[in-house]
Amino acid sequence: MPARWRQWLLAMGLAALAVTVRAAEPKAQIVREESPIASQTAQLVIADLARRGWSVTETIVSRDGAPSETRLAGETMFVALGARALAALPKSTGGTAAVAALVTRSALEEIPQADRWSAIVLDQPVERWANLIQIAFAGRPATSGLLLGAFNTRSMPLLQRKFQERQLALIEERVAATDDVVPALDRLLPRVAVLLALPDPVVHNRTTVQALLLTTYRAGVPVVAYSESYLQAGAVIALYSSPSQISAQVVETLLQLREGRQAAAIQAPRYFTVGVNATVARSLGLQLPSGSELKDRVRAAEQ
Amino acid sequence: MKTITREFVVVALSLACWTADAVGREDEPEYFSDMPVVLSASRLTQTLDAAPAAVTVIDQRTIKASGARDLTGLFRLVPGMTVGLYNGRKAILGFHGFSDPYFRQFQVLIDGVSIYSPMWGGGEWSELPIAIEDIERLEVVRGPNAAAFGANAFLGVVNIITRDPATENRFEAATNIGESGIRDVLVRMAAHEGDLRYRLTAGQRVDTGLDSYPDDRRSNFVNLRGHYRLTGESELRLQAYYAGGLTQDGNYSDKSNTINGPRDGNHDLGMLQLRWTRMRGADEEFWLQLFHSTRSHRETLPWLMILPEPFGTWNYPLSFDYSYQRTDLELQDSVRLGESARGVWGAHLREDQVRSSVFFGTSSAQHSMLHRLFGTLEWRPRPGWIVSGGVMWEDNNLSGNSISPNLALNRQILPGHTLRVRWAEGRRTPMLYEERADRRYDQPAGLAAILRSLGLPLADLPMAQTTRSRDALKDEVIHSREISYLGQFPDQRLELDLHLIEHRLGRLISLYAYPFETALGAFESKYRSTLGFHNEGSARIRALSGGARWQPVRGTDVQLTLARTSIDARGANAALIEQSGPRHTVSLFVRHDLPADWRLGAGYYRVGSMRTQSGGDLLPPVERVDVRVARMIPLGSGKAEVALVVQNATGGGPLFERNDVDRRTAWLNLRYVH
Repeated sequence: MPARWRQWLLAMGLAALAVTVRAAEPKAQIVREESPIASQTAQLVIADLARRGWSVTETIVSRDGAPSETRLAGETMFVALGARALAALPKSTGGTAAVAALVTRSALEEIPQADRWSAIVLDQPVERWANLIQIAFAGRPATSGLLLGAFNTRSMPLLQRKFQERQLALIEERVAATDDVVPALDRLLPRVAVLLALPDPVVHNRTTVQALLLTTYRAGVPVVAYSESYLQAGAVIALYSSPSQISAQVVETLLQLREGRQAAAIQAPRYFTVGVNATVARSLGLQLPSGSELKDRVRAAEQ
Repeated sequence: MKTITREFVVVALSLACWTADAVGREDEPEYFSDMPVVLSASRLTQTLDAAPAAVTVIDQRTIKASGARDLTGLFRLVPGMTVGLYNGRKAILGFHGFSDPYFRQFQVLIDGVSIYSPMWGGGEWSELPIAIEDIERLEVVRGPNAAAFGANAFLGVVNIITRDPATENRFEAATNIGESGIRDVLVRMAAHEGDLRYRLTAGQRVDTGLDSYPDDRRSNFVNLRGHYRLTGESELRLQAYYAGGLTQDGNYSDKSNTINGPRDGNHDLGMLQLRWTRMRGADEEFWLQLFHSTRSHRETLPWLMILPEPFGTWNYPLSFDYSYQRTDLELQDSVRLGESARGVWGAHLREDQVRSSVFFGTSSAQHSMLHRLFGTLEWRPRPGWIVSGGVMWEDNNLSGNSISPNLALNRQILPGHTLRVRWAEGRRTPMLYEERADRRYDQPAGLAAILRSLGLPLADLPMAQTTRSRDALKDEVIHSREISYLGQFPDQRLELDLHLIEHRLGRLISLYAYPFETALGAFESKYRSTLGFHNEGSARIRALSGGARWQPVRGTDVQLTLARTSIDARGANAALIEQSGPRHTVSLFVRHDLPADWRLGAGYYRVGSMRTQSGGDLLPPVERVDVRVARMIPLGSGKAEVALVVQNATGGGPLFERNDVDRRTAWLNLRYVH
């Protein structure tokens, strides 16, 4: 039965090959928060990695922030989506590279520095904001205003510097509590042509946005904001990174780390969207380029 | 109407439940937190050069700086509009003519709801349930706009837009104390807690009006505006109003025939507006609204009847009581139609009910039902071009059904310079009073019995009959052609607005006398006829009006308006109509912020020779100067403001009749805001 033996040998050889290939298949584990955005981003990362032949598992950190059972070891690369997911993970990756996303720069500062993590922060680079204002409002009196809460105040010195480099004026009003927003706007709006909205839970939230957008609209001052939702609410321009743009950067970072190349410990969003609320702009008598044109020009300025 | 109410509640609750189950995103980082849509279609205004009609916007800063106590005074800032006084509290409004205490040719809305009186037409201006401080802005559409607002948006539309509670101070208290018995008080508060925000205003307006008229006023008002956000896209808005109090009327000089003698009137007005809105963005909004209002007026005239000899005089108290109510169910949907077009469509159902024994000759209710469907479209085929059009279909039980279209083309000829050509049709529906007036004075039962016992046929006749409608009235119609220029000169901080109109008005409703048999007619000829309404007469209005707004530096605002009007009328009342508007009007308003928190507002107004359409003398040109000087003072954690307002600062001009003279009135306005 030499033929049968040959068949057996071939089958075993193929099985061995399959095991070898299986062992070489890259693996990733996504640890994410229990939120719609983390879920959406995770699905995008999973779909992208699956197309590239990765094996991906997903773990959800519960809302009460209970530490995960996850062990970081072996060949599996880790992706933490959301600050709570990152905080719930062990700080040592056990030598494995890992990527964090959907975290803000300030949230990252509150989480003890982990080794071999590369975090893609949500905060857009400060110079990107300055470029956007300069390009979008070219030809208008360029004094911009900013309401500063405890959270976004940290970016102020750098923001001031970037604005000054571009001969743009930036003035601020401090807000200590939600109730201060309208009085602060009353003081700020007569002196500015644009209001820059940078995230701060006291200044910009579901409660204050009503007063903020109505008051600025009445004063004829356009708002440049940080999220798509803010744009829908009535901001004239928004600069933000969408879940698909963040997931693309997560995947690129994973691939880069897998190839053994270094990734920066903190990465700014590489891909971004500039949205223009044309109806509100028109109502304010503003003639603005389209969002895609603004994005291209901001990107060109960065290069 | 109970059916309408019930259906609305069912629909509103279903919609509320449907939207309330949307997933909250409070756990997201700030970058992804859900923000409610704020600047939705109904909150956005078009820039003047993109609007499909000529619009004058009077903003909050102008309103405050004007020092106006009554809203009607602000209409002096609208080119072509005239504001006079019938007495100390009742304004006589006109727009390129048709000035009248019952100015019916303008639609009047508060936050999109019509408060146009179903009984008399026009607005009950002195009894508005809102404070000047509640107003965000006034938008006055200069020209017919039936396609968007329906019948009675005839010569124009006034939309009073109140402030959103989100933009309000937490607490405000104010008082006016001054001449003419002015003693006003006002308290306002606003709060914003989570998904709920609201404002409550309560106030009293008190004055003794003019010396020459019984026109005291003591009006109390309360209003509430509350918003409850159901989801990021939807909210419920409730607005409730009450106004009530005393208003005097009549004439001291009416000695020979005391039919218009001094008397007290009491009124009560209540309004409730509930709106569910779904906002999907700046162009996409749907709302459903229920509105109900009720008003009652109680007034008794101590009529001193002067009878032919040998009967002498006879006291005959007359009740002028009336009441009306309105129920509206309305929906409106704003949609984006691709990149270059957007549209609005809507439907509207209304029932008006009026009761008055003295004005309708019966105690049973007079009904008016209205159904509407409308749609408007704005299309931007290429940069610098805007085509806007709309059509309104209406059906009412007074004058049948009608279609009112309009079309406008805005063309930007150079950056900042726009020409607009517009064609529009509009109509004014007869008021219930015009359609069904039966204003008769019955004989006292005792007198009728005596006459009957004497076998006199006079016993079965009304004692007198002043008005009795007998014609089936049709809508008044207007065909309008307009050309406008809108210029912006940003370097000079100047805006210009020129507006050339030709309105052709037809089937104008007017009074005429016809023979009518009454008991008093047996003794005196003037009681042998009565008045009816009929569609008679036409008019052509040609006017050039314009405005310039110059804001050279921050804190300085100069607004100039001019209008030149010519009216050619035909028919029995042609002379009255032609004289009902001045040939020229001018207004100049200056607001200037001075150092050390001093603020100045001053207005100069000149109205050419005219008379009120419903009577009065042909008055010479009238000039008027109003001044307000104010100073803000920090006080604790809030701010106080002291203001001196002087109206008619250079002395008053003649009013309705040549010998009635308005006089200088000054008051102090004290305010605390926290």
